[in-house]
Amino acid sequence: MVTRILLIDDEPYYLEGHINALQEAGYEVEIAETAEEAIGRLKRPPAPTLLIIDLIMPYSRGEIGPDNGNTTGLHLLEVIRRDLKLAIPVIMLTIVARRDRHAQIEDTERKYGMMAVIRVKPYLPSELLEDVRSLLDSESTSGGGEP
Amino acid sequence: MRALVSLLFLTAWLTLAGLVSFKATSAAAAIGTQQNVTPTPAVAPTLTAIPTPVPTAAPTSLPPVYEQMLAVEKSVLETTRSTLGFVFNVITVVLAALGLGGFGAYWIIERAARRAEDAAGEVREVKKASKQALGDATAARESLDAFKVEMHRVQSAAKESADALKAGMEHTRTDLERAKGDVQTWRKATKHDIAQLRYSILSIRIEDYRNDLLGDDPVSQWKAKQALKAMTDISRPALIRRRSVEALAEYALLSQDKEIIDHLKVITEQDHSKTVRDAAQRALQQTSGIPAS
Repeated sequence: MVTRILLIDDEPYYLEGHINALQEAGYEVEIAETAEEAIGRLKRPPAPTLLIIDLIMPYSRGEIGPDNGNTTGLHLLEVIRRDLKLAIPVIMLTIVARRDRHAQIEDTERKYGMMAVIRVKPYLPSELLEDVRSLLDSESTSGGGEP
Repeated sequence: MRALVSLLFLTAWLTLAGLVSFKATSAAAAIGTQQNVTPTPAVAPTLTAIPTPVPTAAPTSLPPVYEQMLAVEKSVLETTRSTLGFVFNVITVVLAALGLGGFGAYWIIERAARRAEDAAGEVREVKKASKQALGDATAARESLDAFKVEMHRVQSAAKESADALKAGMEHTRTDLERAKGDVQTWRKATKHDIAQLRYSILSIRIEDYRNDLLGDDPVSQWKAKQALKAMTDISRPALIRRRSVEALAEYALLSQDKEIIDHLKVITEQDHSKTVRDAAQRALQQTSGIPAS
């Protein structure tokens, strides 16, 4: 079975590093550079196995979005769980190290019976791969489904 | 071959018995024939041969004396003939019996000899089998001896290996004890290297964001501004916070961006590091036109 990872980030610096690390580990990687692109992709099958979402990014090309774009990743997560009803495991990337912002992410996930992994930038590629494997393992043991 | 010899022997015996019987019968027959011959009249021997007058006619009857003599002689001959016949018959029977007995005895002896020979053959076979079994037993004993020697050798080798392994493990344990400190040192060094690596990445990213802040792309500018603000969080290293503040101050001085100026004000009040607070304070003074002290 192919493990397809949708990487949603607007920074070329991180995108390039992530794609290389994930592909070398044997995963199939798709990218979306805005929340809007990600939603469009998630509406089409096949659904990805795992999502990696950057917290701070523009909602669409040319539009920063609500909260000055500081919570676009969180907004996207809400749409994925509530509107698209997808129970795909998520790794949330953020340069924000503030606990209150992390708590917002955790609360959103808890509301839908999910638990995202929060990875603060900067991090090593091996750390991101460790998160990916950990989530996929727990997903295979518990089984996925709609939230 | 034995059967042929036996047959010849039997044939010889029967032939001999038949001959004896034939002779006896012929003799008896000859005696019997003689009694019917008219006896030649006795002639007185003379020195010279005088022709005897040949009777021209046979006598028609004999004198009574001759008749009596002939009768007696006939009786004697008859008795003798029957006696001889009986004797020859007895001899024939005896010889036949002897022949059959001899043949029987020969056959019995022959059969016994054959059985004895068979038994001797069986004994030879048994001896041969015994010899082979003895050879096998000897070979088995030799194999067992060789196996014992090999087992002893293997046991010795195993003991030597176990001793060597034990010594090696002891040696390794000692080495590990010695290296324990080295491993801890190495771990510390690795941890330090990773921390340095993170710091280096952040430093690079700060420079990138500084460039993006001063660039023309509004989205990149926005992203850099948010990132630099995030890097002034108290959880970041002080040096990173100070360099992020300096990058933001440079941008604030040029743009007079209220969002950044407000953020710098918060830093001057809340940051734990005096160096960072001073950097923010200097930026604010420059932004407001007050020369930095």
